[in-house]
Amino acid sequence: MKKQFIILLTLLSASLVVNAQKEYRLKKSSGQLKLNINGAIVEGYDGKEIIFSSQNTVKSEVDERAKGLVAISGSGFTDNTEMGISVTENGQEVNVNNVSKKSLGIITIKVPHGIKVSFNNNNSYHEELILRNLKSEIEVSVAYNKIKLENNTGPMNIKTIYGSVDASFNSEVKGPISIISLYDYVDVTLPASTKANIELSTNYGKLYSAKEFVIDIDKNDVEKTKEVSTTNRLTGTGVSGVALNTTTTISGRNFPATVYSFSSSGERIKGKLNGGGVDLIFKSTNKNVYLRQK
Amino acid sequence: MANYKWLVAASLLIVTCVTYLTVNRNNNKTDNQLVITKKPVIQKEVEDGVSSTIEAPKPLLAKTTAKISAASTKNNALKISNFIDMPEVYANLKDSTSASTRLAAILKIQNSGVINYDIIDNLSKTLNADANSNVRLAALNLMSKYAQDSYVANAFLQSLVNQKDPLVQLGLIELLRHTNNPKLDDRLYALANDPTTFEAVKDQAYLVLLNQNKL
Repeated sequence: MKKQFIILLTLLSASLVVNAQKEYRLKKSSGQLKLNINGAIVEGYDGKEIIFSSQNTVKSEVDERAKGLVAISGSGFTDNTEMGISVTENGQEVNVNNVSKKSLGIITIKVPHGIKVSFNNNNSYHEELILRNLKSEIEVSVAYNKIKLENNTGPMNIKTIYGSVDASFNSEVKGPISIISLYDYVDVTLPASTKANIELSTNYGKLYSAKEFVIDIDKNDVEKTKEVSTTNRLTGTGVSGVALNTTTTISGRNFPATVYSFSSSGERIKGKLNGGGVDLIFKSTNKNVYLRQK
Repeated sequence: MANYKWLVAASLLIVTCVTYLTVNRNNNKTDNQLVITKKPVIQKEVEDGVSSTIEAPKPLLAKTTAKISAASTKNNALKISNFIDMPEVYANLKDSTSASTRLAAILKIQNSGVINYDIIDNLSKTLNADANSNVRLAALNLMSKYAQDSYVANAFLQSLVNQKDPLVQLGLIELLRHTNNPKLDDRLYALANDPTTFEAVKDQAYLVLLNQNKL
């Protein structure tokens, strides 16, 4: 019933936007897609073409004076898609760039499963960034974008400076997965059965985990840490959900106390989930890290 | 005569069973050899489970044991192993096509627990030049375990001069502020006065200088 409803909704919305939608297709089933745009919805699918489409927000009125002319920009890229982006193919790579700094709306990109996706956006114009159902490697390096990751298998390297990251995985996970945000939260949903070597850390925030996750803390990694401070933090910060067995379980970096001591709020946990498996690194420097059960 | 028939049938059955078992072990050797190899292979498996080292066995068994031990290493990949193929790891560390391969290489070194100055040099290169922040941070994370070593500490100070990645800059400052190295101040001043420095890094540099009453 729910499925039918979703299909109905999709069809309805599809019919609504179908007139305004623009599309650009590129035959490619392997290689790398390099996106240097402000934001996008990237979806993996079982096909052989990269399909760019935009729910048109380009102004509908036609500039009469511009007839017969081509929009040019200091960026050096030409719009070959009518969506304000330039798509060029260079060997195994497909490069996608904004023609003008400000983009003309969110672009949806459907990507065949065999293609690696890399997304870069270091300027302050930023929009939504959603990546879902991708089965190849993902690389994201952005300054401001909020990132949503849904049902991707990985491996992936995700970094955002000011944005948050929401990630949801299903049982099929390939490591290593590294998700890092400097100024905002990292929120990860995993199936409770995930086998992983997990590392959670924050310098100025807290770590939260669902009770279902029992992290078997790596003793080798904590043996040199200062026990007094870890014990204090264990009780002091009130991390509720993390399953901790002993007071030595919250780890810090591997420093002798004489050389390095912790700032009072820094937290780092490294250990195994369900006996270990793929490598997972989740880190937020200034905010919290959440680990939820799917 | 009847006994003889049964004997033939029984031996056939045994041969079939042994063949079946060995096919399952990806082995194409003949029955005779298998009867010989079987025992050492099992021993090997047990040994591998513990130490994960691959020793050169008798030439006749070389192929079999290598296969088996490769398989058992794979099975035991979750265990911490001391065996690490450095040329392969270095090659992966330089793989410009995949950040995940490079990250995996660093995690492999981390899990092996093996460290020497050659590895530190290679990690320094990654720390200063890798295109991906996550990979750089993983290198920093691994190296930071050995920050009390003066060679590593110097590599960090040097990195602070060249480092362009704000996340790594912040990580470096956070590490080095606790070492009371007199050379650090100059580096922090330089960072704070550089107009291209990321704002948060400047703040952190000022904060450290301020805490040490150096402003």
